[in-house]
Amino acid sequence: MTLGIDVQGLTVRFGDVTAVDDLSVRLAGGKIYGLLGRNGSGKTTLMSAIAAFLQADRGRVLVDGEQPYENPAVTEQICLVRDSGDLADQDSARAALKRAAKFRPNWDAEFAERLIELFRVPTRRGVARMSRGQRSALGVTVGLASRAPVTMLDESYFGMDAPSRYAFYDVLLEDYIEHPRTIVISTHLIEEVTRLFEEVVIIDQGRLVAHDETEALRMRGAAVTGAVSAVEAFTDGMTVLAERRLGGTKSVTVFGAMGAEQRARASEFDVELEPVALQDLFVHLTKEAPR
Amino acid sequence: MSSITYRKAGLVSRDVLWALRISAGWFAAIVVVVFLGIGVGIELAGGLDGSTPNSVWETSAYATRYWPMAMGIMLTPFYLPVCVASGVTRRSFGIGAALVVAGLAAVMAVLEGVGYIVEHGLYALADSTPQFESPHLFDSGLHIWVSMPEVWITVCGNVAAGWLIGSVYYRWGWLWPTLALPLLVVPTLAVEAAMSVGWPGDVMIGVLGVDRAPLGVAIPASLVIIALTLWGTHRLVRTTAVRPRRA
Repeated sequence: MTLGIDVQGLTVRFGDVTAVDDLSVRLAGGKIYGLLGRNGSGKTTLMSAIAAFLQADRGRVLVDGEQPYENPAVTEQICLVRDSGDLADQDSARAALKRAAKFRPNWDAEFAERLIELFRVPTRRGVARMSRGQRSALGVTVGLASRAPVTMLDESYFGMDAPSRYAFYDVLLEDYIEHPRTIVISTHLIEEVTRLFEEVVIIDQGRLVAHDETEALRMRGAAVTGAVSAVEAFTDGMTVLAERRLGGTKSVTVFGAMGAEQRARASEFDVELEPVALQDLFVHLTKEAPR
Repeated sequence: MSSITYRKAGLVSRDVLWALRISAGWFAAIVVVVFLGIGVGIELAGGLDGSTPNSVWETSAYATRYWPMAMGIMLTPFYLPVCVASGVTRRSFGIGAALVVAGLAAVMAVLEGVGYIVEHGLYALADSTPQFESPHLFDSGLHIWVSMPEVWITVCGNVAAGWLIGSVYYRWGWLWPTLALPLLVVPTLAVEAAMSVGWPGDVMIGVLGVDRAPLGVAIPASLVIIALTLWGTHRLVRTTAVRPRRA
């Protein structure tokens, strides 16, 4: 089962701070979304509103056409794992998994066991005594094995070491293919996870900056590579996001879609055009209004 | 309300009570050892010749009120985030928490009731009868059909007030709840005052000279206070946001 998410004019305030500001975005069901934003951009608040962790001050969130807040039929279909997971500190990993099995209607105990082994989570140790990486791994295990039709991971694998993170990316993709669902991943490790995203949502200062398919978004800019002089001549007057130089070769990331005319011009200059790295684009799109 | 709401409420209450089983077991063991083992032992070893011996077990009532109250305080801060993150609504959590209040009070009522009987038996071995310092609805520790309900209602009042206090702190931080603390403990005092038991009962009868209301009035009044406290806390929790978790 896959559920779509429809956020309509959502505003959430914390005292004087507006965390999410009149944000509207529609996420079709059955895709993996990357939710990108700088620190304090409103990512966690947006996901918290979708998961009924908090109420909207204005606007509304619909999951499969229904508001999730205090709606038991919807909330049990949503799983948000924040940071290292909302786990009871006194629990052992085993107890946390038992609780999830009780509350989660689609819980897959075998899959949970496989993940616990894969991420080397100590099953008897109390959550409070676990390292951040171990807590992250446990949170991710709960998030994936819940098989919730809407699964959101809010930097929840951030504390895991590199081998565990790469194992997580593989197992997430594998499980998503077997059990399609709507997955939203918020992360700062953009380059690591770009390959997972089918669509990307970028927010900044609580507002939507961009929402598009990953490849379409990456085509909003280009990495221009070639001889130094050719690249410099070709990119003259363009918005440059990043530059790299190795010997006589230079690579410049520019913002702006490359149409047929530009591609023809690139051939003339003998430079190669490739889609822009998502991280470069993200930095550019969110640097306009520094905090 | 849907069946999911009640099913999840039942799961919440069982989950919390199960999680508390070890600490509750230790607490009960310590109370029994300290008050029945050491306390009554010293009282009996000191000799009861002629004097009127006071009930030692009666003083354990403070422990069996305040420990469950502390558990009540932790209900919302500890379990609301866990429950919401598990897909449980606040309504289910609230109903489950109210069942936890009743369940914890039941455990304490059984502990206290049985303790009174054991103490009565131990004193009887020394040809004596324990006397109570505070007013109670029962005259003898053997009256378990009265002692248990009295303890259950009293502890319910304490745990319900604890849940209220914990929920208010969770929602508004430390400043305003601290200033409002005298108001937040009113439910627990009101429950005991309505039944004229414990030290609020002492104040009612001894200081204010107010006679105890007939049980047909006192007990329903206490239950109404508890129900209002639980209802109010439930209403509060239903609009409470889950706080961001510290890394």
